[in-house]
Amino acid sequence: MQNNHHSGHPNSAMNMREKEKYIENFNFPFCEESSKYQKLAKIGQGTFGEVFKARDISNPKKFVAMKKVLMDNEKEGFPITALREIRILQLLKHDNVVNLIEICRTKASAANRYRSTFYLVFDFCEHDLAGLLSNVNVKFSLGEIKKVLQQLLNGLYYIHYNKILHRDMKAANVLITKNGVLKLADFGLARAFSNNKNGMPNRFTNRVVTLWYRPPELLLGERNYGPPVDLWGAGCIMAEMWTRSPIMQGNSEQQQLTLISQLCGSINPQSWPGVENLELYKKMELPQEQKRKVKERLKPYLKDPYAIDLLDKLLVLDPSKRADADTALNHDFFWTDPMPCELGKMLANHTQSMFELLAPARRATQINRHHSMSRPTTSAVQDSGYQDRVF
Amino acid sequence: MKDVIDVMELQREKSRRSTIVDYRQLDFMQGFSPALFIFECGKKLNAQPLTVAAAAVIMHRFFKEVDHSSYDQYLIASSALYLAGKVKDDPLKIRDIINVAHNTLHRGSNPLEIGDEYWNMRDAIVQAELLIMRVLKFEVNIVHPHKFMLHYLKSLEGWLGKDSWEKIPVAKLAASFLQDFHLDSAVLDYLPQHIAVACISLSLQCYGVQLPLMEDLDDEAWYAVFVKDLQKEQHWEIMEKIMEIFNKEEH
Repeated sequence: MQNNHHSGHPNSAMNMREKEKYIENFNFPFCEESSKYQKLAKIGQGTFGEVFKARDISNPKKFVAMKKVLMDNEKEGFPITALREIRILQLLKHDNVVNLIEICRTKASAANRYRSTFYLVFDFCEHDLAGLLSNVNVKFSLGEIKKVLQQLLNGLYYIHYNKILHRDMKAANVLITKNGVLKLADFGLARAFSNNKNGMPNRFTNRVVTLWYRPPELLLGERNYGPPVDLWGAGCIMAEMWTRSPIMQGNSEQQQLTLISQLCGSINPQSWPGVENLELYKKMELPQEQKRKVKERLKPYLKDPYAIDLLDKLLVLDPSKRADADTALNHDFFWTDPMPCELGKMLANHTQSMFELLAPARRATQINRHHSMSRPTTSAVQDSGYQDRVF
Repeated sequence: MKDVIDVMELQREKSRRSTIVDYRQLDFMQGFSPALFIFECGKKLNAQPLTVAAAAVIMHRFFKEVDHSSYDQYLIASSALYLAGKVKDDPLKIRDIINVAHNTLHRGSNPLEIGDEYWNMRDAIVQAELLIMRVLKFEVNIVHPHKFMLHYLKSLEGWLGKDSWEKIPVAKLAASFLQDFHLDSAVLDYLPQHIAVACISLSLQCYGVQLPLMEDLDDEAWYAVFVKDLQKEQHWEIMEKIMEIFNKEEH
């Protein structure tokens, strides 16, 4: 930099060809090459890239998920969002949070203009919850549903305790291994939060969370939000365990707010003190005179009285009154018969990997802002008895 | 090992520190720390103190792994600042980093025109950022001594009493020792808790502050209430290293 050339290595005396050769042959000991894994199939589309299933070549029984880091703006360097996800995943080590094994890279060559591609490598999980719920052959008993939700809330409790917000709760981001262990995944929108920095309110972006799972405070423009945003999503997922499809499928922010008001009652300063101060409160149309119908509308699906009571405490308009993960975990729902029970046995009946991406469309063809679905590739791979359904 | 700290010397050294540095004349191999460049640029960029500390730590970690002579120290320092901004959610604009780094190296020069030199520098910083991350195996989470220091100082405030606390700037001096220690790659070698304690100890010594009720503690160190695993020898070692920084700074 002093002499206006790049770092001294490779030095400026090299011509272009020599430099290219140097890069191709360079043995880089710190970050392994992605060729140690063999890509098998595309299994999803994350917030910042595609996800593949792959096999560890040195250990053929070991499967991983590889998430490509999109480097769309190379003039700004490594994307801050990817860096955030990496930092957060390195920090979070919990049974109910997806495990980051390492980060690897492709070899630089003429084909990629001497720019490596990076992959986040995760332990492989056989299923995602959206995929399981869309398959009519997968039947959850009440005890199994409790186990799913208990693990989900345990994961949320852990990340919130570590001052991390997930900000993209939805069934497709809840993975389940073939042994029935639930893992929260896709921390592409996650961020750290502090309760209040020197008395100043936080100014986070409110353009997060997939619309159908987005809580009312975000829809109304709140920027000083916290863990309750994830618990709204947990509530939506909870209901979905019985209804089998997302309970509020709006196609615009306005329609989503209307659907929420129709289910949870009118949004106004009586039901939610302080809501009148939110930026979009006056700009959005909020249906009034709506009665709260959470219990009434969902009772036909959630017959268990404890289940409906817990759901009622999660789908609360006012975020300050919404149950937190700890409160939810202490709810009688989890401590009455039938008690939560292992999922492994039930899942053993389903030897086909189920991902939402691979599942037939179970929902309206709405394309979401953050997670547009792309068409899967055309290959099918057989391994360890699991068949990936690919079109 | 010394058992007294020459406070007078420290104060003499400290007062000499506002000279303008010509970085191009300084040699890494002779013990000069590129962290000084990071501090100066960080200050001009209005970066948060933790961002600057993170940049210094990233830079030290990088040079610990590679051959020093193979990389331009100021390129790595600039990239470390850029990366630290992302790590600490205190984003620094690359354009600003380029301008500040260029002007700090070539004092009095005009900002770079948008041209080959500018794009080369920008490309170099971005590529070096990737290189640094790969060398660090993408492990860029840093536990800083700062938060520990803040807790210890808060407790000391009560221990000393509000009056003397307000009269003697113990906290301020401890904080500046902590920043200075980031000049030395030794900052990587100790637990953040221990570094925090040593900076406070040194500051207490400089002001000759005696903590009340210490005589009841039979030879137990003041910091025993905060950290259990800090040996006396190591405590001295860190303090000595902080002081050595001032000797190294002569140039």
